[in-house]
Amino acid sequence: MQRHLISAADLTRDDAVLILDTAEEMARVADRPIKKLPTLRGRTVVNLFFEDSTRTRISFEAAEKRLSADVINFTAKGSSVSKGESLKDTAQTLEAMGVDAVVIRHGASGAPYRLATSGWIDAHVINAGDGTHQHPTQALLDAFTMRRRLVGRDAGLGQDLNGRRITLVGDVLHSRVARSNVDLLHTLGAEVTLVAPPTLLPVGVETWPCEVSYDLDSTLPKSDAVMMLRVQRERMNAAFFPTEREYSRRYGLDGERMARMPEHAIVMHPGPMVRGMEITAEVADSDRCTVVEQVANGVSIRMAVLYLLLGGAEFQAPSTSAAPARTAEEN
Amino acid sequence: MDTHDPASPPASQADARPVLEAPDIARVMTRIAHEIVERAKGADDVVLLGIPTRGVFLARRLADRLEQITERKVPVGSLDITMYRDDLRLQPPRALARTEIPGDGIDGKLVVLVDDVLFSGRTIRAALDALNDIGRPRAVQLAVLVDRGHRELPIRADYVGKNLPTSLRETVKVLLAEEDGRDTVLLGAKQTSQ
Amino acid sequence: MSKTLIRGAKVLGGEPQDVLIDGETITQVGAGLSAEGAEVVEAGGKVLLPGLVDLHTHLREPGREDSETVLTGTRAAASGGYTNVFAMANTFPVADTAGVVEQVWRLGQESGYCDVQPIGAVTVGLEGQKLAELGAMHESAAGVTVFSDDGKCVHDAVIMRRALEYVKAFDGVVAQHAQEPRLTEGAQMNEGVVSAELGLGGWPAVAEESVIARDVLLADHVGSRVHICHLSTAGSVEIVRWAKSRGIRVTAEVTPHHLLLTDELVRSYNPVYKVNPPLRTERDVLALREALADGTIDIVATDHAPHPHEDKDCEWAAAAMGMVGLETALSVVQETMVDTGLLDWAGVADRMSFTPARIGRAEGHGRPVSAGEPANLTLVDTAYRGPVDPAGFASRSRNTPYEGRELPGRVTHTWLRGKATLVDGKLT
Repeated sequence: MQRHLISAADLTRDDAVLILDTAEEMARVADRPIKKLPTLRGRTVVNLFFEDSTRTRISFEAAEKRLSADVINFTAKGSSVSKGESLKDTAQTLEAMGVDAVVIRHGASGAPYRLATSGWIDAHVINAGDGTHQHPTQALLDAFTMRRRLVGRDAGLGQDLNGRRITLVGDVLHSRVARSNVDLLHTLGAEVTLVAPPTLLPVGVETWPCEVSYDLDSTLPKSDAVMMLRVQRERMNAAFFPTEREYSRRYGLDGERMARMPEHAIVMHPGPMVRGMEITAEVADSDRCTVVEQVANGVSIRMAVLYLLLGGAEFQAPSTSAAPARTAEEN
Repeated sequence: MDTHDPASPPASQADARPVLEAPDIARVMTRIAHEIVERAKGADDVVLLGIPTRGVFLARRLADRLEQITERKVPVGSLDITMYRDDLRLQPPRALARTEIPGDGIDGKLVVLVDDVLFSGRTIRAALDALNDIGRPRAVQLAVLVDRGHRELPIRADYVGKNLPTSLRETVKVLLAEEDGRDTVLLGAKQTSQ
Repeated sequence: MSKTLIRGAKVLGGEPQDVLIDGETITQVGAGLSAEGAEVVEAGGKVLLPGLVDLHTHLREPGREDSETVLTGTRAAASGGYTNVFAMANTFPVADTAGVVEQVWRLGQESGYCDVQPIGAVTVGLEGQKLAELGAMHESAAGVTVFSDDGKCVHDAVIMRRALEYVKAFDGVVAQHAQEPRLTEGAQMNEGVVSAELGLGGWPAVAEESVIARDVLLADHVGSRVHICHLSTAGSVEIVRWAKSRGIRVTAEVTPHHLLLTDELVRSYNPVYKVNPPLRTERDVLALREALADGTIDIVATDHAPHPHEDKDCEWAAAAMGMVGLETALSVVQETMVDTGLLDWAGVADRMSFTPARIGRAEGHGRPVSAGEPANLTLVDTAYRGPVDPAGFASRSRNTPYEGRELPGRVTHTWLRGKATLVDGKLT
């Protein structure tokens, strides 16, 4: 793995499987009475959120605290820090405070990459979602959820998602979740299909390592997992689609459509859901819907990422596979 | 084998001298099982926790022997200490191994930690910390196949398969059938090429 | 006044000749000219070009003197071999009145490094709604002939039509920044494979091409000439080629950066590559080079757009658009057009001096290197090759996309009406 986690596209298959495997072990900590590990004791992690996202911030914060890191939350939205130059100022302030890692959520695509590469700061940078670019920990937790459900909790260890058919439905154009998932799922060997109205697919999507379809109904029977992406109602005003009703009719997932999915297939959603738009309450509340699991898995994945980036030696790029758990010489 | 430096080749096993062979290992495991029964007065509340990787295999072997002796199932599990190590930041991140605590937990039990080699004692220190986050045993004991000395912490084993005086220039490598295809303990010289 | 003899210069890339300057004028061109009473500049095989003319420069004064002033901008121009630059109207206040254009014109006169010809705004405040006083700007001391809302598109078809018609009265030309505003809301980079991946708002080629198509048809309809600023796509080339084949009076410019750089560079999210119009694809770059070579695109214009460091040292979306270009333009043209065999030095003189001067009706600039002509000259060491070092720029801003990049050619001397403004690469 690299020093930073900026894009799901930066992960090799072995990196990704290592993160998923590590997350499985992290998940077991959640079942213990003391949900805490001393691993990141004395290390400082800043959650630098330029955009509201209580869910993601809380998930990272829980992960950081379970690993005993010192956590500083910095929510910049609405403050004077809305102009670009302040990202640099903020970064240098954090650098002066000696932080070890920055978890950044930013409305501008590429802001985490800039933070990691501009020399403003030495800390590890973890992208918690940038503009319409990437959200790598979301893709990892989605892959983790898929592997658990489709391969198995223990059977999945060391495994990827080879040959699994994953369908992503909705506003791909504005979705960092979709971009990250396409990258990661492809790396893990899955066959990805994007389903959306043509207006909500980016120009250039034809070069992505996935299939594209405009027809949800024909794709559902061939899906092992269907991920519904959030569709904001405001998109309607920019003529991406005519009405909410028409969108739901063509691309929403209701009980009738869900019944066309294979029996083992799951329904996923990165949240927050817009019930009645892309997903009906019936589907959202069904056993096949993994939304709540995804939230729990998010903490495990973020623990794994924090551990693998911060838990080892500084300034030494770990090889793609981690060192063996122990060696005789260390007893 | 010195895997501190992944670039260095493993000590040639031709140079390494076996200090315990398969029958020896079998014999000392049986002896340790008997000692546990004796000291724990029947091993009613014993929980065996192996430290990955080879400690887990040894713990399972001990559990089998205890079952033969006491005709009761003895709970056995594993305790990964990676996240509790004191040298995490000296090396690249390590893959985690499984921590598997038997269903009834460890509260009020006699936990016997099982490991292959006792050396500096730092692993056991980490294991005691890890246990602390999992529950409150009645007592904790330690069983090791080989004690090679050179302790850096005030830690000792309750059950020792073989005391093996070594120099710091030597390496001790335990091979077990479950992982390595055969049972043996090798004493070799550290690579000095670097 | 003094005499200067430039000895052994390849005039427009031809055989070495001597060029004698007396006062403000070239008095003799030939072999073995007498150096008597003249200061001698040994050209040693360097290429002598007419002083370059830039039809598209942002000097930022008045209003943004933190990024450039007329003085620093004209010094940068002289460094790059320019003797005449056309200063865009998007200053603060906007150059939409006779007063502002005269101010910029006077500042240029005072600088002494390079003639400054102000461009007037087409509409009041560049707002696209009400024609500015084009006639008054033309009649002012600045004598404005080129009008542009550059930075913004004159998107209203009726306003554009009226402007095209109105400037016919004094042989003016409207230089259109072709960018359909609705298609480029929130646009951050060229729309295509790279923007899809990077999640940056797409800037479709059609937003440029549709406006160019409309404007050449409008120019045809009203019998006016129209100039297209910084043409950047292969599709735009096709439209201009078609328009010219129909006899429509359209001229077009391309920037050096669009001849060299592609949107792949945006993968670095480094805002030094953020520019309007955006960097396009390899295919576009090749089409632009070909079009400049065959004359479909008439000229190279820098779109020199200085920005202070802080406007680029930030995340992409927050960064300003634009690049400085005056001091690297000739090198980029040599790299992309001359060294590739697409254009000879006579062609460069045409695209960077003769034709831009003709489009802008610049008097005394873009003249042949021959006896009796004003001594506006540029001497280029075409054998030089080296990395670009922004620290050495005369411009007040450093936002160049070429930092550290090896480029050929270096302007060593520039003469403005016989007065050396640049000697051995140093401003006088």
